[in-house]
Amino acid sequence: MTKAHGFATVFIIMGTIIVLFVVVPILGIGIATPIRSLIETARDTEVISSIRLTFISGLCATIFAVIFGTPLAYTLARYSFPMREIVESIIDLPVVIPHSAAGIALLTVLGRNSAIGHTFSVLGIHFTGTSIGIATAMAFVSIPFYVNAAKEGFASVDRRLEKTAYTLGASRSRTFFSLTLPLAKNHLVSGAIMMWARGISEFGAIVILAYHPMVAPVLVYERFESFGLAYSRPVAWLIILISLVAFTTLRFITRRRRD
Amino acid sequence: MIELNNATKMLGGFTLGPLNLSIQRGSYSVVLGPSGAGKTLLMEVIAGLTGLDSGTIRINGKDALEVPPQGRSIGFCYQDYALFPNMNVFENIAFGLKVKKDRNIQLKVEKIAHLLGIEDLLQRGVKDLSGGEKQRVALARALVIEPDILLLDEPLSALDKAYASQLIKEIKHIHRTRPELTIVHITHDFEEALSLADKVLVMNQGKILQAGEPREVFTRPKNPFVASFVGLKNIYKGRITRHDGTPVFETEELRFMVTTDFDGEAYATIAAHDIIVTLEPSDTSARNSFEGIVKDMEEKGMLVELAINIGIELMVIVTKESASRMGLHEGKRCRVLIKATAIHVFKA
Repeated sequence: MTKAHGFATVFIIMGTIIVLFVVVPILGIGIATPIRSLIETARDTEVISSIRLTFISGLCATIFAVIFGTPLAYTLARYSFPMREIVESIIDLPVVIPHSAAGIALLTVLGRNSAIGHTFSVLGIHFTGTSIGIATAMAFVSIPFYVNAAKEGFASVDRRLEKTAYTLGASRSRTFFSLTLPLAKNHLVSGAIMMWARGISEFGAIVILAYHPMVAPVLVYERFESFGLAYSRPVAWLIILISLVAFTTLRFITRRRRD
Repeated sequence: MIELNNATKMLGGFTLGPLNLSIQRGSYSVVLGPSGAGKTLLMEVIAGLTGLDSGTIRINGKDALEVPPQGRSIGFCYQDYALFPNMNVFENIAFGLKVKKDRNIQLKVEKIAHLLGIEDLLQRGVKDLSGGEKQRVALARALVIEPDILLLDEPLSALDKAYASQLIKEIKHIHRTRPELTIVHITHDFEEALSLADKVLVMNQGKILQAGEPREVFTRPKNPFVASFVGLKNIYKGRITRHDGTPVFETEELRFMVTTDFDGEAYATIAAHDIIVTLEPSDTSARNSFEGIVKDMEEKGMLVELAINIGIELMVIVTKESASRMGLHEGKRCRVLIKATAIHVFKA
């Protein structure tokens, strides 16, 4: 065996271990779940409504991030200003904070007894135990995924294209909407998908802010706590399956559009 | 008219200026300089894409710092074309018209596309165009808005020689048909500068080292950088004709034997250090051999710069040592030899 072959073999073995590390648990739960109980679970109204709640809340969180996060991402990609690096680090914070701690933090500022929570409750908006609270927790933990992808997308658009558009008489907003945004679109879409995917898989922050109504990850946890592994397994497997299908479909659509 | 007064701009570690510059309306100026000289930054200052730290810029008498790039009536062509990849050729060219809500978009785009020979490309995407096609689209897009000023950043550098000279012809034609159009053109190619420019600006390290008529700058460089960058050259305009199959470059005063395969209007340049000065009478008829008188001598370090009149004035560089061996002085008669291959000719 030559040295080059040895090198390749070691890398292939190590890489395979990592791939199996991800694949085995997912396949394992699938094999351990009888089809019959999966179908039964799929008919369970509690399960269906929790999955719907999860997906829709994740979508709302993502829409919020797209609307408010896009200008921030553009600003971070295009302009240098004092404290820019600090702002970038702040955006990354939710990735490193333990999500249960994030939940406590959110509950502290949005709970009924807090100033902000109280102000919103006057307007009829409550964060604890509501779908708004769920979407807020999802947005908090997943927003870095969108902002960073969008920032990268805007940075990949050659500044000279924008400058040329300015000399051709296009205003900044015209240039942004007819040139920069379309050119960064793929990054924005894939960032939004990543954010949505991260949002719907959230458990820690949501369970503290809103145990009820129950999102899918909380439902799995509750069934495990109350009834044990065997009873929680079909729900878990169903959620994994649906997430996989949704994620792959979205990826596939954007990938194909890029080509 | 573009006027810069003590204009400076710092960018990273680079300082542009202080620049003092005036470019006449309708003129063709070529900015020459090595990469990193600040040529593109100067263009961006003129276009209003970059502000100034100090000094002023006035365009047609108005303080341009008050005017955003959208209002400056400038067509800007970046070196790598900067075509909008999300639009096809037609949409690229039409962009500026659409922004201004022009009513004759279709007509104007077709007209300019026809002028530049790209009418067949209008529905194509821009990604798979050749370099020359992209450059034409970029030019069309800049010209269709009928700007007062056209800024060209190395428009020909990525094109092959034949294509580039074709495009030079077209740019000249455009400039003739729009005499009000002021063109500023960046290049590092001396031939390009000579065949297009009314005025040449040589830049290095953010400063304009010399500005003037091309002949003036190339034959009388003001400082060592300009001399070494453009090369101290003798430049003549004339015609190439054939005498018994041998190409001869003719001006009113003189004839040089040259090596070339084309005829007609041409420039000839002779690098000053390629000219041989001798006191012995020469009988080699195969060479360009001329009687002359030393008109001027100037010592430059180890070298001596001579102006020798052979009917026309010729700049010659010799070593100090050989100048003193021949006993050269102002008014001295001498003989000048130029190999045909030392004369560089190109189409005017």
